[in-house]
Amino acid sequence: MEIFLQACVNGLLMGGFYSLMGMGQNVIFGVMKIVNFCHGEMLMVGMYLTYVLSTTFGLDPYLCVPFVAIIMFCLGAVIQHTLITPSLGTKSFTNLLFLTVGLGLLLSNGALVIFGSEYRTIPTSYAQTYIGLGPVNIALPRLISFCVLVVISVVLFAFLKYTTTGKQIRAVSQNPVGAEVVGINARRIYILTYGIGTALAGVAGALLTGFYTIFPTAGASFGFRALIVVVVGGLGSIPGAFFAGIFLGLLETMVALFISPSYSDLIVFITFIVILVVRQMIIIRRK
Amino acid sequence: MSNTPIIEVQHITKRFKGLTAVKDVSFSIREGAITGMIGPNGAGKSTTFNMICGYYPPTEGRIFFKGQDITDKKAHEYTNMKIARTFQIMKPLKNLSVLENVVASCYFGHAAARSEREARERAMEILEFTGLFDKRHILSKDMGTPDQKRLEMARALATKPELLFLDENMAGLNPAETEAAIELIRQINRSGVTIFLIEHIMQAVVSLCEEVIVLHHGEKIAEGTPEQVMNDPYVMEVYLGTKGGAAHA
Amino acid sequence: MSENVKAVRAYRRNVALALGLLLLVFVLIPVFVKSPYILNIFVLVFYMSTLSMAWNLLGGMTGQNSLGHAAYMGLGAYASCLLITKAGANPWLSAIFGMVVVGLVAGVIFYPCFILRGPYFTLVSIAFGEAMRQFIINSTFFGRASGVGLPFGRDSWLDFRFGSKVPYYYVGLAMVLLIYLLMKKIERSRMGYALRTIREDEDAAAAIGINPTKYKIMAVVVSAMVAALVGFFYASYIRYIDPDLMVQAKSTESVLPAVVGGAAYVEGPLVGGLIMIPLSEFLRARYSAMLPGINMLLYAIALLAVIRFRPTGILGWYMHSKTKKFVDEKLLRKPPVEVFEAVELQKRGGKEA
Repeated sequence: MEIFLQACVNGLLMGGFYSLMGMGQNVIFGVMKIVNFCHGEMLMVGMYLTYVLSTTFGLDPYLCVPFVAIIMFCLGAVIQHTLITPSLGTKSFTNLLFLTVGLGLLLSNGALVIFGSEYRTIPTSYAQTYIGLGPVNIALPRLISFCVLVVISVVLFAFLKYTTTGKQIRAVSQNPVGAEVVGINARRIYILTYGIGTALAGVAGALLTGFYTIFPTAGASFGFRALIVVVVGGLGSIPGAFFAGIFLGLLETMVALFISPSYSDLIVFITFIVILVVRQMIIIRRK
Repeated sequence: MSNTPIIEVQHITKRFKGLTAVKDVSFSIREGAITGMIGPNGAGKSTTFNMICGYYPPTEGRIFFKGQDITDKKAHEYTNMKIARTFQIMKPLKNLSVLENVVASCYFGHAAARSEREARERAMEILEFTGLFDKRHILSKDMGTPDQKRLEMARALATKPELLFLDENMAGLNPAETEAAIELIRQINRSGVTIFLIEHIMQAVVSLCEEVIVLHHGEKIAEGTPEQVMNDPYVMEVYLGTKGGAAHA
Repeated sequence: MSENVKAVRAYRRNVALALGLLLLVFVLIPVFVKSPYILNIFVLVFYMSTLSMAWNLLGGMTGQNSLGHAAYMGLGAYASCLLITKAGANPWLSAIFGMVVVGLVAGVIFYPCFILRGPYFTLVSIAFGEAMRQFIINSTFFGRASGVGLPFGRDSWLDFRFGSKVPYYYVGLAMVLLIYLLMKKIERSRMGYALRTIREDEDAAAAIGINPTKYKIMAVVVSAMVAALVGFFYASYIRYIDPDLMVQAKSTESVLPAVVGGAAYVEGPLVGGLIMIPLSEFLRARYSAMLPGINMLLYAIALLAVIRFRPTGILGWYMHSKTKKFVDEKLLRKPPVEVFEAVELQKRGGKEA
């Protein structure tokens, strides 16, 4: 029972990251209808950014979060403006797909060239601090990260729901032509959206550094899980992404606990395929 | 002229999540004729059309083709039954030349070409017939609306249909182009193809169709010859305003 | 009219001559080049281009962007290797076995997936590839993470086993040619038209009587079988396979030659492969000790540059360039398209005077 509870908590804490990644991916997909295949690499960039900030300025990883968010937002905006927006015009889905795939390659191999392939960590005084919660022990960095990302999720949700810019983003994702007709500058929204998506991935990376090793391909598994989250949680739905992320985290730990840790990836992928196909079949039936 | 209608639609209804787009519509299409369907925007014309073409099934009701129930046939099975359609929003194969567009069609349907040579030969004939011959090497995305509409028809004809469904094939054309399109449709009809069309342009429907069906709010409100329909007081009220007969171009 | 016929014949002869010369160069390379390093690069070009052609049938021609081709290749390699090592079967028969297995697996798995349109197919192909890899890592039968090795021994055509790289070079060259001809044949056939129609618009395809699911399945099966063939070739060449063969990055690598070369053309992967792979190998050999990842970084930059500035790839750019015009008119003496049509019509007994 204790092991079960512990696994639940671990799954929940990990799931939070998948949620955050999924929400970033969801904002991008919702607005531009493109799958951002370098989302995981953005997380990895966020990790290295945190690493650089904390080693050069001696900042605590959690204090780096706002800086990472700002830098990553700018990076995303630049990428959107120089690469993605021009390619949106060609209306070639293949090209857009491989544009983001190529960006992913660029980022992960760029990191490999700059930092090498060794694993890095950011040592903190509280890395090994555990908080007892009844029968469950929680590592302090994981708990802090989780709290921060829940706050971010709520802020993101409120931003999209209540602010004018948020409403504009939702308008563009509903109907880009209609949004332009009522005077929304779609290009500006694209830049904003990709910036926000990238910043969310970067922040997820920054929050991970407290307890996760940093290496050039660290983002890959998170990147694909973000896609799973988006598809399972429903395209465009921020709360859906949040809960799908938690679900995915729990699923992983449960498989690891009850079957075998080495099967968790396999089962996650198969579950994903099954959910996707079954849901699509239901949609077709309904039509 | 046979007495069984080529298409018989019996009490079809289509509901999308509680919204009833088409409600209990029945009509039939006579073989060899040109039948038109008109109605204001949102009357359910396109929905009806898509159901008959197998694009999606009706919620209720049946559709018969020469007495055979085709309600559950899939869209891709229609050309094998010698039925072809065009799309209101043109769907040219953008990155293929006009010729290749038509060649692709020649390869499928009940009279599918068996060799590349046969397909190309037939495609050339159809391009000549539809007046696109001189543009055969242009990429279809580089053509204007009138030519893309023609290409839609050429692609449908390449499957050698007996029955052709035209979905607003003259929308967006100027009067001269409309006139040319009307002439082409007449020619197709004279070559023995039954035609069912939905159209916004009154002038086209009046001059082309032998029978007209009027939809409004998803229901059939009138049917008959163009004169009968135009003089129907209810039709005049909901569709034509009070003027009656005025072109709606 | 007879002048037209002459012009067309002269052009065809020129093209055949040019292609024959090109082929001759490739056939003669191992006679003059003895360096195993260079030959290795050519073998790499051959099998990666073939894999990329397999991808291109699905991605470029059908518009279904797969990111799981490394998995088909890996699975094909595993199926044929295991048949060789566990059952002692002949490698050539094992190759066929591997292709059939992978074709079946791909067909069965993707049949339900083809109700999904757009990005979903890509996602499923990634998930499928990862699931396959994880399955192999966890399966004792497949040798887990440590992989499967093929026996070494005397040179033998029957066992497709050689110490020298030259036989692999020729088999690789034959494989490229064969698959190229197959793809060219498909492109011109009914299937090719169906696939391209599906790529442009699935509704339009259905409206002219194409069953989109059927043709997409055909495409994925053929594509996966070719990838399996490449897997067999790879395994016989390297003589060792492990699950790393199936990682996501390998699938991406298989796409690059096609997209850089021009995904809309059957020749795209060949052009892309011939340019990109030697470049990447050169960089890897030269700099990877100092800067690991530099070759993939170059790949990424080339990919981004092509997509950003030449969205139709190198061939797409060439097809509308002055160079092509020059080559066609001056070197090959290509007559205008009307001349071709006139000849075509005349052959059929001629409707036109």
